Amino acid sequence: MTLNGHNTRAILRWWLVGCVLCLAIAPVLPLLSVALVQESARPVWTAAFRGAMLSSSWLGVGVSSFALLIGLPLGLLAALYRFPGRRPLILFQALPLLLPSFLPCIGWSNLTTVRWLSWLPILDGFSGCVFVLGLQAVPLPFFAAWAACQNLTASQVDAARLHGGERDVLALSARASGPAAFLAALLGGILSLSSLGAPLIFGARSVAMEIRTSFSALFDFELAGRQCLFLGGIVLLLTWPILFIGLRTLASAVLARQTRPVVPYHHSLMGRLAFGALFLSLVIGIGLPTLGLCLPAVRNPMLGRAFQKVWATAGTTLVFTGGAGVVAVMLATLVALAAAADSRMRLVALAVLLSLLAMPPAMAAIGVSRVATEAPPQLDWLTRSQLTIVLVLGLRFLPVAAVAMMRAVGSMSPSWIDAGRIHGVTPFRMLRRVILPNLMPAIVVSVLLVMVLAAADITTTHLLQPPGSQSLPVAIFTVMANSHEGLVASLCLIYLVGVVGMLLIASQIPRLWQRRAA
Amino acid sequence: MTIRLAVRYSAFLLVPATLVGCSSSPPSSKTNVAAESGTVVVYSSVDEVFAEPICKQFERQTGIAVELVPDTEETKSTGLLNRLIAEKARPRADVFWSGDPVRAAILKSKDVSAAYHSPSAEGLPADFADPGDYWTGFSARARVLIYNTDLVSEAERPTSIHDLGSPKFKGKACLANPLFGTTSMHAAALFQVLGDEAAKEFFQTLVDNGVKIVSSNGEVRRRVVKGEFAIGITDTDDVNVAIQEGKPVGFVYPDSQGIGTLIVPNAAVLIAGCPNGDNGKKFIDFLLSSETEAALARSEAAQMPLRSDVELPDGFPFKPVAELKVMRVDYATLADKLEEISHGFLKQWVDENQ
Repeated sequence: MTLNGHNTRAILRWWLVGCVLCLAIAPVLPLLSVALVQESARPVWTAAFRGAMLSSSWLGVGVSSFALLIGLPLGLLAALYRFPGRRPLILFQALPLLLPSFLPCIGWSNLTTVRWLSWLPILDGFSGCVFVLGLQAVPLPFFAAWAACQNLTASQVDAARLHGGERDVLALSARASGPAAFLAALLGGILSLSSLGAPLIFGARSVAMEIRTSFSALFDFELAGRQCLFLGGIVLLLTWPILFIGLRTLASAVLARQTRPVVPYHHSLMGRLAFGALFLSLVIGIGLPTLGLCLPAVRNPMLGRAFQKVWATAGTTLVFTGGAGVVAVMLATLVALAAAADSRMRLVALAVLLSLLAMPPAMAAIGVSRVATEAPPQLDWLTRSQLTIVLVLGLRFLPVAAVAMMRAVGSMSPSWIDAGRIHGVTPFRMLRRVILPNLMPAIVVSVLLVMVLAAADITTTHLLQPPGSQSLPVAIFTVMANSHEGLVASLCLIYLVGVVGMLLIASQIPRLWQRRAA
Repeated sequence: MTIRLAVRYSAFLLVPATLVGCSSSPPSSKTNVAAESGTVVVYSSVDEVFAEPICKQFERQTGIAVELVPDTEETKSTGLLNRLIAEKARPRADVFWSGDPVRAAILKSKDVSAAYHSPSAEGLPADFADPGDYWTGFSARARVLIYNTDLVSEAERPTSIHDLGSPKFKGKACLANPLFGTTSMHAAALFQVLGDEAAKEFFQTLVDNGVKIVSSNGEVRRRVVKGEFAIGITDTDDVNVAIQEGKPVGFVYPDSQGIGTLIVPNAAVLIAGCPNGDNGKKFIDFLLSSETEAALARSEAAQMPLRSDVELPDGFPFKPVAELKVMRVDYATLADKLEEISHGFLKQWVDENQ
């Protein structure tokens, strides 16, 4: 009976996760089915596509390596040592990840027009893409390493310090956080496969550019769909073995619990090194491109016009992004709770979701657009409204929310759930009284994170936005070609301030929650 | 306590959902209200900064609300054209205001557009319109050579597109990806005017001369302004932005002694089966009027009126179309040529040289 009950629960959990995954896949299905069912006059596996695939693969490898080489040591230094301004320096490392990819590209591009910065090398081609996308991906291994270090106990670190000083501490923490940082850097590389901004601006060859050509120059949806399918297949081929091999480490990194957490150590030299490295990373990752973006705003501020634009688009932006955040986090919480006790389920969920994340966003948007055309007008509320954008964006960023929520669920003490079971507390009551209150800070932070990421997804919003509603990033994107550079720069500046604000709010939530609980 | 918590959680999850729900209802109802209250949905590949004032003017004159969905050269990667094609069976747009006639011709070839002969088209040259009235051209841009005045002297300035392949500009010239935007239209026009073999030779000389392919015409402007390249080929509106910002650039109408300068008119397209057809036609009538041509000439885009009797503003940086040696192309068949070369020579050329 117990075994049957256990099996039933396991089946239910698989069924639940399966449903969420099917929902996540749904937006890309229309175009994929077109690609599979309808015949395209042109073959997919041409020399050009092979070349682009190869170039993209190298781009992914380059971005992952760059991000890992920078992000891992930075994450370790940030986690292990005490230095002035530690909290804001750590927090602002997230900024490059939260901006639309075309903003830093244009920022870097603008910098070379400044006379006193003309010594900067002109970013171009493949190396320019690796540099900019790599900088954008650095926060992923950085925070993965930082979080994994939090899983070390203070006694482990103390023992290593006593045995071999800081060298042993760094070696221990690198071993502990390496796999998580590696996987996070890999995620950065995968995301770069579908990134269009940098290859477009720097003129590098990539699969995303090939797919864009099929969509926008050849108008061949079937070909573009099949190319997306290839891309997804390759992502699966890459991610599954790595996830499979790294599963145990990943599980321990995601689900490990602290008994006596590491306290940042005061070490004069290492503290200075950590401060310098994090500061430099911020200057290069966000300071210089922001300077490039904002210099025209300083020379010729058009803040009045910019604020008018912001005012006109703020409501829509909040609805799109806030809704996406809620959808993503609700589904992610379901997946995280269902997969909490089953590492195989986590593997399947992560692999499917990561593969979806690597798909070009235009794929889901165009697919949904086609479905909407075929659907009866009575379904417009679902297929052609702001709700459509909310759902598509929410499902696109479900992987990000899922990783965050898996981590949050993994950090919960199992003793609470055991205690509840012993006392015969019903699962619903347990969810309401124990699990959700404990997850609430992570839920709110994840909603904010998805909001910022969803705001930066211009392709989806642009292709699905109902007439008359426009979000701020799309507004920036649509005026940046030929508007006065002062207006574009002012808009970028306001957007950046908004993202910083969201980040600050997100950083305060867990602390406020703890204070309230105390 | 339990109830309070439940209410709090429900509120947290439901408030944004309700917001979304509330905000999602208007679009569907909007579709129904549109015909009664006077709305026209306009998709525009013309930059929003130029399109919006014209739409506002239309709203003031007619009382019909314009719901503008803008696009730009830079967003062609996502492209309203794709959206129009995807929405073909049940369109949401009434009018497509295209920045060039080739996209309008593509819509015609894909049965997305409907024929409409506007009474306002009176006075517009027939050369810049579809013979079947599936699109009508108005205010235009021209494809011009832009050069950095710090790097190129007046005597050395280019005069022909063939100068992109000249040894004096070896490694110093750039053009936008010819698979996209007005550059693709220019490529198709060259194939039509020069003939296939001569056009292929021209593109080969670009390769031999180290001409760089960049992402867009805006990028050509930026890189020439920066001095990264001495010359490039772009559109007049891009040049005007650089001039307005006081950048060190000059421009030349290419081939005024030869094949002429390519003119890129805007095109007004009525969408087949659109929800607000009558309002769509009124909007097209407004677009094709002399007043709109004059307003676009006054705008930052400094678009050149196709009518010769439209008064140009003081300090207008470009010549009227009538005073230019215009490249003689058949705009109606340009889309077919573009489709042919995009799938063949041009795609291969870009693949090999990007």
